[in-house]
Amino acid sequence: MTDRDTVHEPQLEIRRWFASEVAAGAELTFQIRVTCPFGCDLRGTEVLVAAPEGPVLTSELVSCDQGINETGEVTLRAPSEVGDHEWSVLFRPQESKPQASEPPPHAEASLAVPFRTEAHRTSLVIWDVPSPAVMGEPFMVKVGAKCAEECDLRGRKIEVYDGSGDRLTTAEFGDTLWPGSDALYWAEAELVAPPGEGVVSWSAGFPAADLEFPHREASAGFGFATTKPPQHHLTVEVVEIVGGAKGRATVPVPNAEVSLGVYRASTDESGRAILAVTKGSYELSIWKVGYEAPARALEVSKDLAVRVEAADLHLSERSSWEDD
Amino acid sequence: MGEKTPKAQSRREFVKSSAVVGTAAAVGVGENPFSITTDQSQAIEWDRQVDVVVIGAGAGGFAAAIAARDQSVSVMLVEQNFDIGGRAILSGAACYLGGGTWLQKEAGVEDSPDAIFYDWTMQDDPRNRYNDREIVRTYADNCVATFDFLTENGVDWLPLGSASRLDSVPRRPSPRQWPIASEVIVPTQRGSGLMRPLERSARAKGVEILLSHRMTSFVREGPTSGRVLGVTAMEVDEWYEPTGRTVAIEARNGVIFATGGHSSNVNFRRMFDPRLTEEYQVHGDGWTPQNADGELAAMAIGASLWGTANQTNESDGQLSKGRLATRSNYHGLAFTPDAPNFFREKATGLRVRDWQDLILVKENGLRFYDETAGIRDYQYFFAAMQWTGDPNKLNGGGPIWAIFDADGVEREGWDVEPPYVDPDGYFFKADTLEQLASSIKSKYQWRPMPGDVLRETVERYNSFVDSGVDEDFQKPRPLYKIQRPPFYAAWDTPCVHDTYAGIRMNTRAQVLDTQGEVIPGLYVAGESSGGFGQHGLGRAFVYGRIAGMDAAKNGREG
Repeated sequence: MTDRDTVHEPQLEIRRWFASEVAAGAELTFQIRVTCPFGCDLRGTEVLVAAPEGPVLTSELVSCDQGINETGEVTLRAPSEVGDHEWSVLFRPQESKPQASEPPPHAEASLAVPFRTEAHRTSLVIWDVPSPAVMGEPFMVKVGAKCAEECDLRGRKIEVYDGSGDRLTTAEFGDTLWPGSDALYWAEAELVAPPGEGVVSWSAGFPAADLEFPHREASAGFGFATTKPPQHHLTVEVVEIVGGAKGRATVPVPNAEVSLGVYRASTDESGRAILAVTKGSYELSIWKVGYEAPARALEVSKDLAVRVEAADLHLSERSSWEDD
Repeated sequence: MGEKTPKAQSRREFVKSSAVVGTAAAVGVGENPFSITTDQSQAIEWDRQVDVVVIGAGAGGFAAAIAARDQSVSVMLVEQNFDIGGRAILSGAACYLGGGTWLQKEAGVEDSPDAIFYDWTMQDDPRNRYNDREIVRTYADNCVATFDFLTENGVDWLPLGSASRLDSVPRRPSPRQWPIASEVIVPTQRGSGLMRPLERSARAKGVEILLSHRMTSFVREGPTSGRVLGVTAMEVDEWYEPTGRTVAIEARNGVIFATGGHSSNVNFRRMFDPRLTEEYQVHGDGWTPQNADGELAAMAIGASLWGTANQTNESDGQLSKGRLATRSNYHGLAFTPDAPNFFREKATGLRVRDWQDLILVKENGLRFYDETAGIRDYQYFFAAMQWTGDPNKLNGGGPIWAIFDADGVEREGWDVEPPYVDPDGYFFKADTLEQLASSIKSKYQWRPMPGDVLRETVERYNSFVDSGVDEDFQKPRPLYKIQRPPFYAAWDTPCVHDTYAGIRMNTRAQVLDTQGEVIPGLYVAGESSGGFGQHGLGRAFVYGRIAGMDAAKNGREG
């Protein structure tokens, strides 16, 4: 029996196919491969992609390598409804114009392509949250949302909830994207700090809005500390002691992070940082890479100035062997 | 054999009939370009004949090649890279070479070989506890002569600095940087100031240097008996792929291998530490990888490993906390875009000024340690290599990702674009944390990082910034929230560096087999040798010089 005496049964295959779960309405790009076991060149033959409700697309086989025939890249849009779908890829040579004058007979072939469409994933971000916030005082935060499929979210609303899930406010996204982003929509929301002192955990939510395609709900948490209104100023001077027994001098340490409980500030060029704080008992700590200063307890009951000595750890000299 | 006919001829005939090609198999980072198999009947047709063949053009290799050539024998130096230098040329270039050198005397430092021996064999530090004291003793006795040798061969020394590591006195000289900028490989490291003068000297003295050739085997008379007669090597391209050309080089006096150690060879390094799976990248791998070529070829003809406890002493230069956003991310090594190997490196990486500016998470999106840990904190490495809970990946701790935000980038002053970062698997950016997690695509990130876990990790960390206390890992006063888009994930998996264990040698640098017998005609130096866990260049220069002199003077006796 020769290859012209039998019906050739081609194999169908999807190349560069999307995952079995795709976003509703997403663009899907792939190729269809038809392989003839007898190595036939089937270029010019069409293949069909069909949904249950009817044909979606036809595409011509345009390349052949030893019986492996492929279409070019095909782009289709997934259904916009969430759920299970099944498309078929159909090879019907008799309905296509023949490539050769007396082609060997090729059987029809079909391939089922099941997949599931999902609601778009969105995710939230909350930033520029002041901490500490003063009890009972208003403050602003920025809230943003992004759809993984980069859907347009202009005019959509985001909600902010307190720790009990009660809605505090709603903010509407503007027309401009966050600078540098291609799809992060954002808004400013005004909030009021709760009346008690402590660390607060709130959240923002993006309701599953009535967009062109279904979207999942999203939420994200954020927090801040609350304090009483500041009553006193604490001036912290961070210095380094240099020199030996013959002559000691103090040198200011700029850009050191000064923490007093929940309050924080950086030292300026003179090594000073000023913190507006409420009276109370605190731990004062200093952080700067390459320096070490012990934390110390501090009682603040009036305006106060303290000096902290930080020791240079001489990391640049140590790095001579640590880096080699 | 060899009694009735002139020795050289008889050896050649013997080789044609029964020489054995030991195979350096299963080498490379992921790939095995070797195709030669052990075949006891395989005849070798030598393409070249020299007295001494040296494998590896780093510190040990150049010391060996020059020291041999100084004895008026012919020397060929074989190197896999397209340039000389090995990892020595990437190094800070400080060499542990004291014992009373002229530089020490100039600085008024009193030192002696006894003091070196004492310092490097004390029991109280894991870096010297496991050393072979015979190897250390001979090292100590030869430091001064080796320092003079380097000086005579053109190395120009800086004034002596302070004592470092285990040294009780300053004894670690550094060279001045090489003055020809186009020949400097890493401008911030002075290794070119060591290796370029040695290259000049070696070439001027007549050492033949064969670049872009990777040794594939040592040829020995019998499978595990007789002399080592020469080597086989294959030409490789700039990606270390074989070009198809091979060469067999007879070494009438001997073969010295100084191939740099085994750190890049995942299977080999896991003999010592099974945790070190494929995700851990290696210092200088984009310059010249430490493939264990010498070790494997030597073991194939009977050589013994030695001093293996040094490889698991869990201290010093075996691991580095790393730079960010580049593959081969040793913290102290940044290639510039004009480096000749930058096409392999792809990015300079980001140096972290303040580890408060980021958090570190595992592949599962969870923090695991205080991020401000030191760059050589082995408790940190233990945590980084801890199992992350996937039954399908039991060894290794998976990739570590530095997570930071736009504010962190601003505080650090980073430029987060190529060539500073490598977006091809080592650096990712997204508008939200969930999207950041799903954007991480790396061949070492074997499963997706769950976005909700990463978001919850960051939210929890941000709450520690509010409260001032890291309840999970006791980071000192967490200072900065990660909140302002965009967000970044940068590769910060610990980087493997030193090889501290290798092939057994005696104090003449001759390789010993598993019976403790010398393998005649085979020598080793540097990080491929076992018994001395010293970081860096000193031991490589000392034993390279010893090997070169011995092979030239005594090599034909064995």
